[in-house]
Amino acid sequence: MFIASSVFLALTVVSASQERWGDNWDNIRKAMAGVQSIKANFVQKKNLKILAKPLVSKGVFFYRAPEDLRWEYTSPIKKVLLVNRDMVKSYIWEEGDYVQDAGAKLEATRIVMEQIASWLRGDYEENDAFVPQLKVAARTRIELIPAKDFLKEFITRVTLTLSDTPGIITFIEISEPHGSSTILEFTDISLNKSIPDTIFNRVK
Amino acid sequence: MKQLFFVLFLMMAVSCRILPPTAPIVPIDPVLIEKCSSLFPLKSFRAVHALTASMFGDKKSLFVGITVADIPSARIRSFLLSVEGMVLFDATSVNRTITIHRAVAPMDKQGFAQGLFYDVEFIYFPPQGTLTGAEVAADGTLVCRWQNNHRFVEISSEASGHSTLTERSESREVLRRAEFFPPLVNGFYKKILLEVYDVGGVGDLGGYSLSMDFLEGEPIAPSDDLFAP
Repeated sequence: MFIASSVFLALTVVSASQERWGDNWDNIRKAMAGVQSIKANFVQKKNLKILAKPLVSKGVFFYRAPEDLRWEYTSPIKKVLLVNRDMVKSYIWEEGDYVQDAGAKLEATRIVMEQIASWLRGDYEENDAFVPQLKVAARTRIELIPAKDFLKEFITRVTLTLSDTPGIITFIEISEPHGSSTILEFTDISLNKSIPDTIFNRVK
Repeated sequence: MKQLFFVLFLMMAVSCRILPPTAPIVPIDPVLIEKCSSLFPLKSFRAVHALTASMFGDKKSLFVGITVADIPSARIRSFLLSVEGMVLFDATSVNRTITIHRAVAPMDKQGFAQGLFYDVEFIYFPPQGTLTGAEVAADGTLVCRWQNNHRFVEISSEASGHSTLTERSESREVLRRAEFFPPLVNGFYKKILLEVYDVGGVGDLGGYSLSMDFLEGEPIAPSDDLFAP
């Protein structure tokens, strides 16, 4: 009896330890809720039919729950996006200083940034812009299919690849019509460290 | 005799008046003709630029511009992307017949695509029309002038590699001016500044300026599918 109980207990422990944070929506929501801040470097690769090789941009991003985001391109172009609640401010580097960019008026930019903030919060099932599908595998993915017509013009699918570390997304692939895509890879990820307010409300 | 001289003078005056203002008085040195055409060496290319535009109002906007051009067949494909990678504008020009594949507001404005392709041709394509003048100044600056109907194009290329390309109307108002800054990278200038002035005949966009910083590019032999949607 003791042996049988021990085996049962051992199996339960193994089973529980094998359940990963990306296996179901509840676990994902709980893991994401534990994310208070993220700092990471990113590499953005743009694939287009007319390019011989992807167009590569690099930068750094900061996130603070629930919806502060700083998305900063450092090379080859310098640009900073500050996202707080419903506001997106965009700054471009010109002649040694940052100046405000009229491009922030572009609806597409605002939508992408708001969506990234929403994904980092774990708002998938509540998000009415995309229909989410969980693809559990060795590298679990969340596929987001646009639900609104104006998004379908730009995006056919968004694929988020989850890290082994709870709450972390390592890749975002945005598939577009005509075979184009944008891939974001996050590296040097720092989780739940204190980030000063100035990162989110001052360009430099 | 006096009368004959007056008639001859009158005939000469009339002859001068009916000549275009920049028509060559003497034939242009073939060496200079060659030098003028060599100022536009690219035949077919792909180029990626960071574009800072003062357009659609007072603030500046930053885009990534990707252009594939095949000059001998007069085919151009141009993309404008947001820095975040969204395709905001995609169009093809084949012999100046424009097909817009995608144009997000405000790039869907009347005249935007025409203006963009006119700018690409202005910057990269050899001027159309007749070479009407060429000279080398004492400091080594090569000046070449072309006339095409009622438009006049002049390029001034300094020994340093810095060049200025100017398009004027029949009344000599400046319509477009592009400044090219060396060094050359893969045959492309490191920086180009374009000014388009708000005078009659330019287009529906009014005046605007564009700063083009070269990111990457190379001469290519473009396949037909690069110009297909």
